[in-house]
Amino acid sequence: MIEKKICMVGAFAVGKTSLVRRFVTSCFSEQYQTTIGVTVDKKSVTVDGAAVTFVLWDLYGEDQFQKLRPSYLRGSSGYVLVLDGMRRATLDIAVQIQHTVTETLGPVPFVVIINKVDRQTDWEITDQDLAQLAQRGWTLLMGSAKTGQGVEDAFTTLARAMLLTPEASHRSGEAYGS
Amino acid sequence: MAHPPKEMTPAGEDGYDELRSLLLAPEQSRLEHLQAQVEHLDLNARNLNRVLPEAIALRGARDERLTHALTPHVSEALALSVRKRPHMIVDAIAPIMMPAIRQAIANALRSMVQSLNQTIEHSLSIRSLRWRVEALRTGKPFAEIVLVHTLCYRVEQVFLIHSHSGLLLAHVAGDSIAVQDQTLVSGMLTAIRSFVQDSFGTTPGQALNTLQVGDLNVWIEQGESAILAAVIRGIPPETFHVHLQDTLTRIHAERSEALTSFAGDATAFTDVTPLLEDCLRSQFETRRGALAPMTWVLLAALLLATGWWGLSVYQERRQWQAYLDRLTSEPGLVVTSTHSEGDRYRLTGLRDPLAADPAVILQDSGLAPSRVESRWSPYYALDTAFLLKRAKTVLAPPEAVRLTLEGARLTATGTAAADWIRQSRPLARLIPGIDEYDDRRIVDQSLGDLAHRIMDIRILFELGGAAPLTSEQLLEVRRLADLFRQLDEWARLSSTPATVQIIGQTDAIGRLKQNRRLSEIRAQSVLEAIHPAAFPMITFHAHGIGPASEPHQDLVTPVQTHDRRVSVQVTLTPAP
Repeated sequence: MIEKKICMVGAFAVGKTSLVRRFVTSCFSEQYQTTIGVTVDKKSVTVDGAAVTFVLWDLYGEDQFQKLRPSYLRGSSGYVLVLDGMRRATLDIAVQIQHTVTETLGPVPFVVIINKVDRQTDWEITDQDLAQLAQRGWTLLMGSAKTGQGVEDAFTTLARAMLLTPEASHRSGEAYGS
Repeated sequence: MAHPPKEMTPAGEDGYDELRSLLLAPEQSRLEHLQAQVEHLDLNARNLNRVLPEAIALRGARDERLTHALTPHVSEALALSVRKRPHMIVDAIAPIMMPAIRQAIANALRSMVQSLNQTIEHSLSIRSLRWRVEALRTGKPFAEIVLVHTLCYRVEQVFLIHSHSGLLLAHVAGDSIAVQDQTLVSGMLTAIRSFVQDSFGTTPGQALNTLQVGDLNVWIEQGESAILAAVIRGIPPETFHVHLQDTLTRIHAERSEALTSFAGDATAFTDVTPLLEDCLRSQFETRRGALAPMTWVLLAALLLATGWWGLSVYQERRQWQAYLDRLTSEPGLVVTSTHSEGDRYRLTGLRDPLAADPAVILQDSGLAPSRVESRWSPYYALDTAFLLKRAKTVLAPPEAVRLTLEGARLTATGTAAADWIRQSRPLARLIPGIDEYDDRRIVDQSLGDLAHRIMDIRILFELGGAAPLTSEQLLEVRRLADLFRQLDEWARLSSTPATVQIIGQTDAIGRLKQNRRLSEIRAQSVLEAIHPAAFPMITFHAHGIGPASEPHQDLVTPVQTHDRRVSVQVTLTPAP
């Protein structure tokens, strides 16, 4: 059984913990609980016949008061960058975070989930924004922790990308995903 | 297709072959090809067993379709085989299962023996009773309570963690240890270390090396590519750090390449499990076989002190008992209750005022007087010795009086003054234990003595003298009156009236008639001088008897001066 460390990163309150809970336990809670530090969880999946265990590091959301600690990112084989479609500001933060993570880990695989697709009518992030992100080469997925839409796909996509990418290539700085 | 002729010449045969090849070349070629295919198929069918393993291996390497295709058939075949020929399966798996079963049984027995030993060891001590109470109070099994209290330390789990990613490389846990998800523990442990290092560490070398939660300690050894974390209940010796470091160093040396190229597959580290299991150490509290010299000294001192104290207590008890025995045997002392409070003794009792002093007895007993508190209440003892002693004390008899006791009857003998007799009678009746007081013998003797003293007195007269009495005669009469006063008093005490005969006498000179007359006058003179009315208990009679001796005609009788006298005869008449 192969284990892979995956970090959940994004601005605060974008739904990282909810996505993890949805992915791991298929549950969702309307009650918001902020993550302090980091919470570690895991889930085993089979992707293209290969069994892999995700060790999910759900990091606290970055805001103006607390920045992402690079030490938490070390050793990650990939990461999930989460945005809140209803808050345009989370996109800018996501860009900064992606830059930070890339500086720390190198070009490891990642996927971008624009969360809360179940309330897409209230989104502040526009199609134009999404198009610009896509131009960066980011893998964008619409998802909802509340309904579960796109969650499995996001992690499967990331797993597939990680399994296809030799670990050594991460260290060599080979470009991937951006 | 045309049929060949039955007989042909060689030239004809060659021509025929040539003609056939010209006419049927395409069909011939196709026929040979088909024949070759048929022959090839025949070869594969016969020799399939030769190529089948390689074919399966090749197919299995390509994808898992073969596995998926065979799985249900293999499972069904296995189930059918187990049902039909179970002994075959047993024979097949016995070499694998038996060592595992033996190992499991050995582990269970070892745990049971260890638990049994500890239980027996702690089943009868005071400490174990305390632990049983704790087990009842907390609801935990007694064995667990014993384990907690006797355990010096026990390494319950060991994690080998990839330091870069925090992923678990290997993990071992002791028997009967509740294990959480090792992957999550490994991840959180790494996260916590990162947090601590970011928050407090100033250099990469300064990392979290120890965690403590209750009696659980987590010792963490940091290596270049991996960290070794040991979860320990209790506090192990510091040398265990060295063992952990050695283990980690060895893993780095032996698995260097695997650590460097680790990409999430921990199967490469299964062979380090024995090294980690060697870290699952434990140490229980052991009883020392031999005591330290200082312990012996302390024990000896304690024994000596206890012995000395015991001897002191024993001796003191003996002295106390001897004191009580002495008090009990002492007349006039009655011990009613005794008890001791700590090092003090208390007693209450009754004490006759004439009894021996308990304080003096206490001094003789050897006990410290300050440790004995006595309370004596006065009482009168009725022992013969005490009655007599009390009678002597109360009556204070003169030396001539002797007191004797017969039962409750006190008898006084000897002689005593009438005043003492008079005072002693009411006192004697008040003495406890004396029912009867008898002093008659004293009275009788005193009366007799007094009578003799009275009868020894003679009042002498001059020749022919009778009255009035001379001064010398009056002195004698006064002396006689004093004795009569005593006689009267004794007579009253004894209720014994006395009769006094005052007898006048003369000498032999003169005529008898005159002498009788003279003697009468002399007796009457004395009687009158005595004043008999002053002595109511005495009856006086005075009479003269003439010459004290009869005159002899033939001899000249010498005149005796003491014949001219008055003498007294006393007669006591006891009351009926």
